[in-house]
Amino acid sequence: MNRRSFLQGIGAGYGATLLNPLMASNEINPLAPKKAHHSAKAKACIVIFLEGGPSHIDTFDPKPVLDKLHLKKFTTKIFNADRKSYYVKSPFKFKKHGQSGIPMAEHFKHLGEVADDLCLYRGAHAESANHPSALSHMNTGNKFSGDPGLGAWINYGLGSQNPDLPGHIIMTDAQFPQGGANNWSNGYLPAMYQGTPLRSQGAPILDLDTPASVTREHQRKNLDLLQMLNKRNLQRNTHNKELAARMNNYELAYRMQARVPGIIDLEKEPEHVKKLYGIDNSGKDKFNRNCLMARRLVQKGVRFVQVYNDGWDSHDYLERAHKTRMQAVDQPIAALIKDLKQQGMLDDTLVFITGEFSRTPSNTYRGGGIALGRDHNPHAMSMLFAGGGTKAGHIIGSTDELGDKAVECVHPIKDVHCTILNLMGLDDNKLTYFHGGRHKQLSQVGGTVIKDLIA
Amino acid sequence: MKSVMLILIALMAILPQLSAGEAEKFFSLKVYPLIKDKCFGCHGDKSEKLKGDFDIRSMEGILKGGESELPGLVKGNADKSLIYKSILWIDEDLEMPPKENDRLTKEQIQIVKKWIDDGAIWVSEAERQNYLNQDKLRLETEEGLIVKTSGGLDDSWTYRRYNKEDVWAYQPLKKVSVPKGLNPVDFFIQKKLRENGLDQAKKADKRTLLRRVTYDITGLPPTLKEIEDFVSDRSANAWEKVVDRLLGSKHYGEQWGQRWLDVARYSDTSGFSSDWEKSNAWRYRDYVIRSFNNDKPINQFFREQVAGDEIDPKNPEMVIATGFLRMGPYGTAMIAKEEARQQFLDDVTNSVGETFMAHALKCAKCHDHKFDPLPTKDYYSIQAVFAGTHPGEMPAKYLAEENKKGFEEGRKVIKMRLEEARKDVNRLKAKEEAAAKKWMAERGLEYKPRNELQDKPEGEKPPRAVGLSVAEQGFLKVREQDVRMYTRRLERYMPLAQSVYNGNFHLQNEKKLRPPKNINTAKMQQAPKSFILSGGALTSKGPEVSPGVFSAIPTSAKITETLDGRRKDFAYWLTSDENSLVIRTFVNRIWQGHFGRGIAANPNNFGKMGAKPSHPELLDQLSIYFRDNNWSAKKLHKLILMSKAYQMSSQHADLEKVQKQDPDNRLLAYFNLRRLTAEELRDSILQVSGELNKNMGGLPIFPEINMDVALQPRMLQFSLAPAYQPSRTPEQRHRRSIYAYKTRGMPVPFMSVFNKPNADDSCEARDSSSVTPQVFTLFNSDNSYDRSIGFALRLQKENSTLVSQVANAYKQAFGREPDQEELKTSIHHVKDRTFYHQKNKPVAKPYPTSVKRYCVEEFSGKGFEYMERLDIYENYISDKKLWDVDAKTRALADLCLILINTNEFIYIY
Repeated sequence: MNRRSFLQGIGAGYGATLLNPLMASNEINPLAPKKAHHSAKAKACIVIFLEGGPSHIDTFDPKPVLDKLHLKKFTTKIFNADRKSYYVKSPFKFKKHGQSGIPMAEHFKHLGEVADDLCLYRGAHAESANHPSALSHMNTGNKFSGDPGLGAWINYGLGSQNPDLPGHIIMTDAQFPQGGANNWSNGYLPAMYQGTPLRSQGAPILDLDTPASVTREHQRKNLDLLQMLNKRNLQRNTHNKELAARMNNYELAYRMQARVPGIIDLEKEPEHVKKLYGIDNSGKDKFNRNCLMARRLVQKGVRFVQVYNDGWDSHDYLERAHKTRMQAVDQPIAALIKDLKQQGMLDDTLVFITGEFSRTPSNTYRGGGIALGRDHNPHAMSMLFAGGGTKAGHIIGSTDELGDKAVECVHPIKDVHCTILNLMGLDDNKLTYFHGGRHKQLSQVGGTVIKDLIA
Repeated sequence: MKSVMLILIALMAILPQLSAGEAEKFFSLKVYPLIKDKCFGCHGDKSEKLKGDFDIRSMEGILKGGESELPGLVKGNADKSLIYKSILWIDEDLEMPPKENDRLTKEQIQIVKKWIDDGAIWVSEAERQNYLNQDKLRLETEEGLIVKTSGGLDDSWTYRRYNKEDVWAYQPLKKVSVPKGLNPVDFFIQKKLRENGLDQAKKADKRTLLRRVTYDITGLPPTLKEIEDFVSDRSANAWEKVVDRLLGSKHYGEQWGQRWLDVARYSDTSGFSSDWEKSNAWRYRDYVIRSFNNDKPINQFFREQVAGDEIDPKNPEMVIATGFLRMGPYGTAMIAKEEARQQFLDDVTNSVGETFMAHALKCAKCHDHKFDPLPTKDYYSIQAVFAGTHPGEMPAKYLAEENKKGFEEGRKVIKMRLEEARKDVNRLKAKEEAAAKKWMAERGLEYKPRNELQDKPEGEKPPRAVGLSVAEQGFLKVREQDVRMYTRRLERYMPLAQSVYNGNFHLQNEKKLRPPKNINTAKMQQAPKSFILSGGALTSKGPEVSPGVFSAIPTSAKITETLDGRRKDFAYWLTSDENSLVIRTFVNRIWQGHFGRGIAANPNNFGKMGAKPSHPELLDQLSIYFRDNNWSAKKLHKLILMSKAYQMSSQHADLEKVQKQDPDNRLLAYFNLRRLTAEELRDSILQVSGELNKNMGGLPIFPEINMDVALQPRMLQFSLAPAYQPSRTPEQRHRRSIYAYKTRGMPVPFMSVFNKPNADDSCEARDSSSVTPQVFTLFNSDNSYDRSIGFALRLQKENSTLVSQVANAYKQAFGREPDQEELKTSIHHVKDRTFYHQKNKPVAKPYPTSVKRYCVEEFSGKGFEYMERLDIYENYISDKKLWDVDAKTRALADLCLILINTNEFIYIY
């Protein structure tokens, strides 16, 4: 059997080699920590994904000229069809924060406090104006689903720091994003790099829990008999390493069942920390809890955590909808950055906040009338970086006067990916996997590191 | 390391100082193409974008140097030359080419070194061409073979040379004589083993063999009676009888059909943002199963899938067969129509290449293939075969052999769901209309429906969604999507097939794939034109191409230029007896099915980058046998199954030696064990628990899946998808996995954790990784407990004493009796656990009949809630649960759970 197909636990616990000494070798443990390609600050990465297309014009990139053009008409080409459109001004007031003067819409009350830890990037240029393909592009580097996600690549490149936990964890909001699990797929990489959704209700990991009437002691008894039968089978089939690997996975699973609930128990956090994140047990604090959980997981050695926040697709009722969204993410994101800093973790944790695309300075008619919202726009975005060796307190790149297109320090998404890998100590050109006849990489065909974003 | 040094020394030795003419030839044939390939991208092609201001297109440019202002090379001294140093990658600031994957090989580095050391001769374009022209007259030289193709974008590609071993797949099949009375499989396998001084493992015991072959051919374990019959059959042809019986089993088509569906990417939905149902995809699935069971000649099977509708349009079976062309993901929402069309064409072209010809054709979409003799012209010529092909839901009368059970019940359920959704939509629309009327009346305006007020300014017409709360607007969106979805699902019960039709146009809306009304007009029936798309971009049309074939395969082909008949001509070319590539591709897949790995280990890639065949002569002899036996899969199976190699033990007497010499067991000194696939595992558990319903074919079934995932809020284009609801009765649910509904956007965790591939890419071989979530799924899940209880109840029904129940459990699960220690320990375990269960009573957990949904609504950015009815559970027939049975049964079920988790159960030896 080939090496790839055996011994692959999601956090295979090679430390405990109670069944077979062959488990101990790092050479055969694909999840052991690996040497980075170059020295780098970031050891872990948290991605906050604002799903639906947050508008840069209404958050971090004000365009006052739209005030004058408001509701003035023009014709735009969308998918080969002439569509009548009109400009839409931003309903929000802006204030500049920190030494770099990052402008933020008025509903960001807390985020301004950490402005000097943020690097605002306005040069990104995506490709697709369609949610699932844009999500897939941002997450996997490929508009068509099926390729490995960023978190899978990073874990493939750096290995695991905690054998009892998956290295690639996803926390969704109310709903799974369009494209679902394809957004955190292992693609053609081995299965252990797949993202594990951490569930907020029920078993945190699918089927981690046994039925309610099965105690831990009972489970152990069943496990003991199982392992006895497996051992006898192994004696008859001595050279088949995957049989031993499978036995070890049962022990690891048994340990995880006991340990994971403690690791993810937010009640272990002090009150003032929960307060910092705005956790109020109202039942509406899921994103707040997920942000705190992200910090806890990274602290426990998880390499890559992604937290989703839904509802940014404001084709209409922009004022009402974006306001609510900004209010919902403002405190938890600010808290995450403050908290990471307080815990001394911000230097080696890269925080990346993005949507799948942004929105246009204009809107098309909806239901036969004016709608105060915006269409999808992949050509101009606002992304935020913090920690992990990024250039704190800077604004990099810019968009044109209308906010229609990025015009300065313009880079495709693959360059953003290369930059994130670089910050993690990985070189996109070296982080390759042979599949389907060629060495594949996150950037598909190679990209450029955006040096302006790096401190 | 040592071998690298040896190669270097050898290379130095064969590259002596050249005469002037030889040096010029060396530059023209070796050096220039290398520089062009590796350096021009950044230092030549676009003079306005020269990286580092360094131009490598002429000796002047090289000597002038770039930003560093140092010359690129020093004639006669490679070691002092920047170019040479940079390709060595010794200085971190000067590594060229910058991408790891593009780095020059040792041999290529030596070419550059030799060229510089010999004085860095550079010759003019015309002279270079002269040397090239002389060279291309010789098809085979020590530098390799020129492979004849339809021609690349330039001569240096067209006349490039390939290593002979990299182009094995296009050569004609070569017959080698095999001593009379010897199975060719054994002749070649044993020959290689002998050459390597290895012995073949001894024959496996009868029980192991029967289990191996029964799984291999049917995907299920043998029954106790089958084991008994075979073990007690002392006749010389006992094995042959088993092989014949199994190849005659109707389950053969299910097992080998599944293997084909992996390659074809079978799914019941389309993926992308709406994940529309391919409502009649099951008819293609059943067509595949039928074809294997009937031993339909594989050439015919291939032709029907590519061109059934053109071959015999009146025959529904032929319309259904073209479902193959429809298996890819498909979505047109928010994509320009030309682009969506191109996506379909690219998908079909590549899929035909991977499936039938073991080549990912998409590698030649933007340029001539980097490694293989596949010009971009071939890519677009093959694509032109499909240029008039459109996806369609086409009428196809039901065949007598198709299973139409469950239509009535299914239709009733979907109709009911559709009506409910409609009711909600109508209620909310009426509410909005009433509010709009009121709004107009209050302003003294005459009421008109909204669509007649389009051009009125705001203030003279009611605000949109007037009268509806934010939650109601959100709910309306959910229900409008439900209406669309259930309307589509009603097509499950219509005599349609996922098929194709011909026409000359672009647009295809994913919502309804029917031929346009004007399909028969002259305009629509014109022959479509196709062009090479330079760099793969729709916007840069290159030269026009005619429909054609993979030109490296040395067979003639004539494809019609008319709209109709292109696929038919192509299909006949594909399946001609001379098409060695296609024959090898299929034969190799069959071999992989039996031995776990192909003779060529990348069944979808026979090109340079794919694994080379371990036994090329054997692959050819099997291919010839297959071709000469009218492309019969069953005859080929039998030849392989009758070999000694297939019947070897998975153990070996001198393992140390084998592992040292052949660590991956490529030479087959022993049989490779394999883990059950996801489907085999689920089906086997149902089989041993006595619950498996072996009915075949028909509408997809919905097994229970993990409840968290079934109710997981899944976002589609407009709103949340309805929950996954299982089939109502155990009989419906417990059918074989090949009949289970497959949703692209929602993989079933049990299946994907056991490596069922996603359906976006063709799967050439299943992985069998061992990961911890498999333990959670198999040892903790409700499903595993339900099956264990089913298994325990079966044992209690068949046997009255605990001893006989335990013994029977082992027989069912492993096909053997327990030994004394196993029996003793197991009986003790059940007794001991009975005490536990008497003290720990499970609490009943009823199925939910509705689920509270929470969704963040884009109109407000706020969440809203609604209840979704889960109608199936209102009248649901549950399997027996932990709380339905007594402590004794639960304890026996513990043993059953343990047995289905063992390595003995989950591996085939």
